[in-house]
Amino acid sequence: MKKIILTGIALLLLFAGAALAADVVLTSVGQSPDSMMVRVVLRKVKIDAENVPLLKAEDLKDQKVLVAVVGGSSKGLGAAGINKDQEVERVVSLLKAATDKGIKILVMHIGGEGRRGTLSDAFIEATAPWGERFIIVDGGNTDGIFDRLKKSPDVKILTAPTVTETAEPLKSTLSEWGAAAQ
Amino acid sequence: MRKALIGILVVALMGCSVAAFAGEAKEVYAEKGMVSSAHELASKAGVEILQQGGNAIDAAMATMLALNVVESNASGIGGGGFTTIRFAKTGEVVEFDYREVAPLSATKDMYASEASKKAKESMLGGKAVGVPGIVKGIFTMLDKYGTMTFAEVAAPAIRLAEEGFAVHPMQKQIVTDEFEKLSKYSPNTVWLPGGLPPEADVVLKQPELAKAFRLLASDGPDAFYNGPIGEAMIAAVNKNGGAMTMQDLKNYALIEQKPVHGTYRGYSIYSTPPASSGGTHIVQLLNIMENFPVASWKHNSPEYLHTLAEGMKLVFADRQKYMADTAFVDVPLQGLASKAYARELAGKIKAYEVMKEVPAGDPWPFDGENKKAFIGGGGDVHMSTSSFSVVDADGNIVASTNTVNYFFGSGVIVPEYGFVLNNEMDDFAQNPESVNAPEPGKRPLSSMSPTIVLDPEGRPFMTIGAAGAMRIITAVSQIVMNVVDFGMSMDEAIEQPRIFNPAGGGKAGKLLIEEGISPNTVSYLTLRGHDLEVRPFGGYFGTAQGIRFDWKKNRINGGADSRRLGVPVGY
Repeated sequence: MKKIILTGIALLLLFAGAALAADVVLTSVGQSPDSMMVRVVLRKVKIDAENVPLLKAEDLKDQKVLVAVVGGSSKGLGAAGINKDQEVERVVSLLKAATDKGIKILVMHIGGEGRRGTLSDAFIEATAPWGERFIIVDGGNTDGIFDRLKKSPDVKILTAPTVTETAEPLKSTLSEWGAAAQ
Repeated sequence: MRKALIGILVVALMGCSVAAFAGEAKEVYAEKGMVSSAHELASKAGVEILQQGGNAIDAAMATMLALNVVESNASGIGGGGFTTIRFAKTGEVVEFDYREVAPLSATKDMYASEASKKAKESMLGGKAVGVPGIVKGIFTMLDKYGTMTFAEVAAPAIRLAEEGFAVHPMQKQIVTDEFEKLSKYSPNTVWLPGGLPPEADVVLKQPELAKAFRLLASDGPDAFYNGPIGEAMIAAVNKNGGAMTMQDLKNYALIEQKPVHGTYRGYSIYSTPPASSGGTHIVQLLNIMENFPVASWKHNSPEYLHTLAEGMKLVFADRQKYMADTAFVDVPLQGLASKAYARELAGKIKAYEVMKEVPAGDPWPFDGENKKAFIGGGGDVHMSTSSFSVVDADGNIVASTNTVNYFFGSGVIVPEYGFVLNNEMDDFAQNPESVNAPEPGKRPLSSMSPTIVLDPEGRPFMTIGAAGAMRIITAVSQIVMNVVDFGMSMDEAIEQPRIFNPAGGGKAGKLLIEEGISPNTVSYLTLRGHDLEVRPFGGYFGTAQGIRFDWKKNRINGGADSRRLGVPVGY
């Protein structure tokens, strides 16, 4: 009976196209609410992911993908009780740990032109060199900042016209990296 | 020696201290009537009513309701506000206060615990909601001074709600900034289509809000204060942690009263008395500045901004100590607005010194009342709110400022009727010893300041108001001086970069300078000893809308803030 139930659950997850729950973790880079929005998009395509805005290096376990959603918010930083430098320090430490653990790093920027400027650009500068792929909503890379900062020409930059339309590149990337059902 | 050095530098810097424009001035002129609000569609709604023969009061109510639709984040029937009206025939000026009040369940210490502060109960969810007054305000003003029915003035707003309007990129950004709050308390709101902020240019329809307006049109204010809209609202408040009852709604009473009155260089200033601190402190700041040769200084020059910043500190020190709801606390209103007291305060401002310690003054001897000591304080440091001005063909004037406090207020949107519930309880002080601590039926301290100015001949000169919490006081004061002392037109005056210098707890706050003020001036002020920070040109420094009367050319001149989506519309 127990075997039947477990098999049933496994099949249900498979057919629902659900993600492997612990495979994807989201974090904010800059404490804007953008990482929460990416989580909403992931839910729509039935990929479960934990969103930990202040994720630290030591919090990483056996995830396959770290999604770093970049966007600076003074309000968010204030609410978190940290400043820009502390946020950069956290994120660089996190990205280094993820790289060391072999966790894939997907960098996203979904705020378009409105989420650019001195504060956000500081976080982009800190994060982009670690990215193994980028998903960027139109308007966020008109000056080519991500092209300039990516660590190698092989790193792909995928784009989407709107936040909702990041679903497809998200799904394909996570599937390709083995963090979501094909 | 230090004085001499600084004096030399002042002279050197003065030559190049003229401020660059931070916002592009777009003046609008009209001969008959005008509405200047924070959204073009709301201004058009008001003008539509004027063109149908409505008066300024009718048009103002239409504008207010339309703003609820196109700018739900800032004001609406789940909030409150203040309106100042001047009647052309009599010259009488009246003030309506339909500010929210604390519910009967309120206690002085309701936000005092660390747990409450950590949970931000004064800002988020049902416990943050004050009893809304705006519906009573609209019906009362229409009944007493309007010429049209609620159904007539609500028609443009209902149309906008049902047919929708295109979301502006700035609005998308506002929803994005408030995403966490909205997705927690109102995940199914139309402002989060598909669970996400709307894309720019998406047409947003609000059928539930239209339903609320239609119900108010058919059943009157009782639909809100003793009927289905109120019941749905109470349910939403309590479901989200509040403790409000229908009795709170039934008890709500607005206040019609005389405005605060002061003068500035012969111009009469009419603005809001408590529960807003705004009018009183605008008069106080202008009274202080009247003691200095402002017009002989260059606009936004070092000496002007130094003096202004020092004056602001003195005003905010007094605001924190004395200001509260006068129904609960004695406030030295006459003293604060007195010229003699302002002279005493002006004497504290030194050309070569920057005040670091800023204790409150003592306005009681200038008030003719017994001295009392209070512990003041209150939140009110955010940016939001919406202010507009209306002038009709007869010369009636309305200045109105309304709010749900923070953008999207408490985050709770009444699901059945689609309106945002305020978080006005955050404008109370969390310290139970404060004069501004919450109590049942008490109005929280505000800074809203819809203001009407008459020229020395007693003719209408300007109507102005702003959003921006405590920066309302400093924005309106600076705009008045821009027009009176520096001879600017309406939008030119609004678009100038501004400063803000708070004080509290006996200490000076940081001098905040808006980008656009000359870097040389900033250098001088730094050298002078000001602890300052330059911030981007934007809504933080207040967003204002106003109309100025040009008697020489027999026309009116509207301005609306580019820091927001403001547009004046005239005919």
